[in-house]
Amino acid sequence: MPPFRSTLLQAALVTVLTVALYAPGLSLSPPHLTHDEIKFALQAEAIADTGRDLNGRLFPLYFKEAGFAVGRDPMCIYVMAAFLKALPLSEQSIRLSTVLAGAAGVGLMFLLARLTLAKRSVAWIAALIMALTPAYYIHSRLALSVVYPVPMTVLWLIAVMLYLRTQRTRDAVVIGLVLGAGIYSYLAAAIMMPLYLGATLVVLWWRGDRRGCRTMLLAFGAMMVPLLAWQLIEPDRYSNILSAYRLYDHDTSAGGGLLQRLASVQGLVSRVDVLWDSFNPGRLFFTGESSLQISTRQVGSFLTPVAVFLLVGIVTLSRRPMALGSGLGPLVLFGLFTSPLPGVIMADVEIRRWLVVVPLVAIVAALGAGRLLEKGWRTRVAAIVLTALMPLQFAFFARDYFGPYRERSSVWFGGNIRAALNTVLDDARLRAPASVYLANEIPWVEAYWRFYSKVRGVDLGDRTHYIQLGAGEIPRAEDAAVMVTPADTSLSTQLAAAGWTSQRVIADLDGRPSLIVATRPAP
Amino acid sequence: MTAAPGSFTAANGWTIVAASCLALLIAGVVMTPRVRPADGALRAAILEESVQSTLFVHGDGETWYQPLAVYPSRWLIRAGVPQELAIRLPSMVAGLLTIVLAYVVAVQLSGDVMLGALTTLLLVAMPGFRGASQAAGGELWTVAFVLAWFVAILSWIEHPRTWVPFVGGAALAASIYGEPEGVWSVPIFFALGVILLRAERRARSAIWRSAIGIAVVAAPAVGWVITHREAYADTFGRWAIHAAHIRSPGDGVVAFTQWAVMARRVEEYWQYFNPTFLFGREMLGLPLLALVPLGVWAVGKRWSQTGRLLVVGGSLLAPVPAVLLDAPRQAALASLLLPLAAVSGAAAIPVIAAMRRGRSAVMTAMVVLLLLTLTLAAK
Repeated sequence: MPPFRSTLLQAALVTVLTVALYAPGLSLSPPHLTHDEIKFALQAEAIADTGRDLNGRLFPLYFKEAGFAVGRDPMCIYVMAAFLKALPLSEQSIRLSTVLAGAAGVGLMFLLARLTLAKRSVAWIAALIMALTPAYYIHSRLALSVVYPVPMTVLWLIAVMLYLRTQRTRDAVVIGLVLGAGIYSYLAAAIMMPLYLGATLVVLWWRGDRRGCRTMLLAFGAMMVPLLAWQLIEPDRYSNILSAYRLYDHDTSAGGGLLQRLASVQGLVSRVDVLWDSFNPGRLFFTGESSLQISTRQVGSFLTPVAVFLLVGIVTLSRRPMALGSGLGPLVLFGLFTSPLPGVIMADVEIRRWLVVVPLVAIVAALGAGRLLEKGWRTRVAAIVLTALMPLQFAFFARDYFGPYRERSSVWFGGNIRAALNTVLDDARLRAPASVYLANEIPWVEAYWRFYSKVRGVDLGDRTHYIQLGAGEIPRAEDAAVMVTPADTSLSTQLAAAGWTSQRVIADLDGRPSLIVATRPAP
Repeated sequence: MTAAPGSFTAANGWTIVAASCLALLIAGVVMTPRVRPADGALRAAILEESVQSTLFVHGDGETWYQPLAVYPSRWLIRAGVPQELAIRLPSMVAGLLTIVLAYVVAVQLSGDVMLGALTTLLLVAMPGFRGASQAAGGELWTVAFVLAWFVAILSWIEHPRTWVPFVGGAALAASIYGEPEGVWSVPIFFALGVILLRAERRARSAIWRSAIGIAVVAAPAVGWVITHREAYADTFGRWAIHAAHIRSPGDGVVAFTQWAVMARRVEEYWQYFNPTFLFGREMLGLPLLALVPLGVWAVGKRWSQTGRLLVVGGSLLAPVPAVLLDAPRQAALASLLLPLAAVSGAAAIPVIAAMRRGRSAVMTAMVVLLLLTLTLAAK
């Protein structure tokens, strides 16, 4: 076992380097905030400010919202709230909390690799693979909860590895606590963490370690107490989950919910297709996801050289299950192949639901890289070339990510709402408008307005009106009023007819008209 | 070939091969053949003598057929064989040839006659194989020719006779005349053969002899393409790696290096191994799911390097010609997977038999497999 203190220092260095890689340009790309980021941020800001959520609940476990009764995941919000205690509310500050979670995952990966793989250089490769994974990079720069299960998964593996080596009760407790805490990180983790618990129990049971099993279960159970208490307070939560994610439907005429359909042959076949497609190397190593919110479509979810390392790693691990230390190899392989399960249940292949695959791929691929580096000079050169290609491919990805991708993806992030609302808010600083009309046709405009009002420190809440343009509800312009609507050529004449004398078109990043800020200046 | 331990002799093995062939023939005659979308045009090309028929046969529009898909049926019709039977009979013959060759390959690789016999039974149980042997088309000819190449390689490794690589190479090149993907099968499986032969003494001369065999048999096709340049876009064009090659072959190669094109081909390749396709009614059938994964493991773990390369490597290479054609996923384009999966499935049976109560488990599994296959086939 390498010296623990020096390993910890190196892991800290890896974390810092990852932050340095992930943090720049957080308000530049992704080009805009998604509505989910806005809502997480508003909840976090409310908690940081008053200790209560937007519904006025004191330190709730889940954050219910109108239209999302399931409740937002707590871990992301409380971490973000801690950041907002120290930093002002901004696009950067809310995304920075996720950056730190992502970077912590990479640092922990270094620790795991250093403790399980023989060479320090291979541990650095593991960290490099994880840090340069495009899907992980992209998700770590979004203020969402999807990244949070990743560090929990790596922590679980570290704790298991330590426990298998030392048999210390403390480590068994940590396994249970980490997996229990992981449940609060993201909804998909509520499937994966118990699965990991089950797999760990099987490993310990197989080794005849009944005491370890009991300790782990007790620790996990302790972490479930808040969830059970919440269930008593919110007895509808599970039925809300089932209906929000279309898992169960009383009306079976259309085949029922997603879980019900699993019972049919057709449903089962389609899920096997989803599982197979999840591991589609074309998507994983060449093109990435179809959604431009989470992929540039120019590079795979993982860098292409990782495919070679991963293949070698899987073959090595299936031939020598002890290659990652006793018991850990089978757990890693189990985790790797079951990771798309949340996506399979939801019949959705997108990697955001199963980001836990990233550290598992990183550790197995690093094992593969290490194996290649051990062999003859030809394979060693190949491994070195592939490793060198990773930063190169990442550089191409980053150039696109901070360049043309911003324009391509702008629409996927809801358009340039920020620019339109900031125009109104900046004007309001000079002279407060008498009324602000915001068209409900702009998706989640209320949340965006609240967020940017708080960021700019301008409160126009009592003068704001939300209108439905589709219902022919264009208000007559009053003096010193301002209105924000989607850019629509037919609307322009109607606005002029209603007395809105000045119309500023807010363009999207690709130059297309996105929104209109219409005003009638005060005389 | 060696006999299996116990009383299972080579004669028993050949008896089962004969029974499998008979079963295939009966199934071919009795069962209604599955109609595929392209069947109509092919039937028309077979029946319409006036279409341009030199070596390759011009069908409708851009379609040209490989000679083995058309001429044998035409000759049978001329010889007085009823039309329906004449259209399907060549595929049946190719199917019978495939059964025999799959048996020989399995026995050569495992040294176990019983395993060879099981291979033929599993092959006949596959809905994809039965379907292909009942339908018009030349895909099973391509499969048989590639298997003949494997037999030649294995025979040469066992007894290095000089004429064997030549015949093997000639057989492999004959796959050009079976189906469009056969054109790509030649370089791909020749490369696999070279890897196998390289480990042996006097490999260089064997490789040369097989290359000459390929050249001799491929020469008419090459000559035909040169003398029928007007057909280039629709013949070689259909077999080439990217549509851009229609402008020039160089453009096709360059286009293939594009990131998006490579990504699409990788996806196409991956989808050939999708379990719902592989174990579906167009290919191996669901019952084989119980045997093939275990068999692949057994081949990987217990068989020689040659066996692993030929069965596992061959299976992994089987869809590559189809992917290079950039055609939508079709069972007909990856038919070589069928006999290789049968060998893998058969390789699982000794593993199960070696377990405690394994023999009874094997017997039960075979009965269940038979019943399931018959039930699914009847649907």
